[in-house]
Amino acid sequence: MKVTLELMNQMQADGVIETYAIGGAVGATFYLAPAATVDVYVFVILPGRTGLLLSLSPIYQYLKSHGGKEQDEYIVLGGWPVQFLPCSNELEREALRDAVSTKVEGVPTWVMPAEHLVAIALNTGRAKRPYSHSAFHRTACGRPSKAR
Amino acid sequence: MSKPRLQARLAALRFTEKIKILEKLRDREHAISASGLRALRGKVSAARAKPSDVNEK
Repeated sequence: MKVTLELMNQMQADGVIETYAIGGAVGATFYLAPAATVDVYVFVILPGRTGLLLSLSPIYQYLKSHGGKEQDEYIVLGGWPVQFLPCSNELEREALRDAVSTKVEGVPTWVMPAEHLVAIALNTGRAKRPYSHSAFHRTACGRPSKAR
Repeated sequence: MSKPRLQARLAALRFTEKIKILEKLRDREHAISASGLRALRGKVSAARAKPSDVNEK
């Protein structure tokens, strides 16, 4: 994961993406007990967005030139299939604005707030996943202020 | 240790430690998928489900 995050941070520093935050099961793991997952969902805001249609080509081109391998809807970085999801509504944009800063093996990164993870899961019909609202409810650690 | 207590203990780990666990879980998933054990388990479950289906009829 260290390599994955370093690449994403480098991509942000190089201006390919404006900002990002980890969502999905990996993001939920920041607050909950780890649950098996095989991919990483990364929500991004692309710079200079003007039209309604978005292209992820710059991200794919950049990452492929830095050792990433395309695999279905993912790009594999450091052993993790990563799916990049451009923020498509105000909820997701707010999740990136309010993202919690943390570190993995010394590499800085951002994770969506717990409330946003739950809201997005409900919004996308994924409420039965291991990171459902009840899982957060059961875990006393489901508070974004309790950054670790 | 009870399951809720274990869950709480795991949830309290540092993010780096949790990511290491995720990586182990991911590798295990890949190993199970590659071995075909999951498909075999599906077949066994289907075979076990059949007699009850018959009884229900």
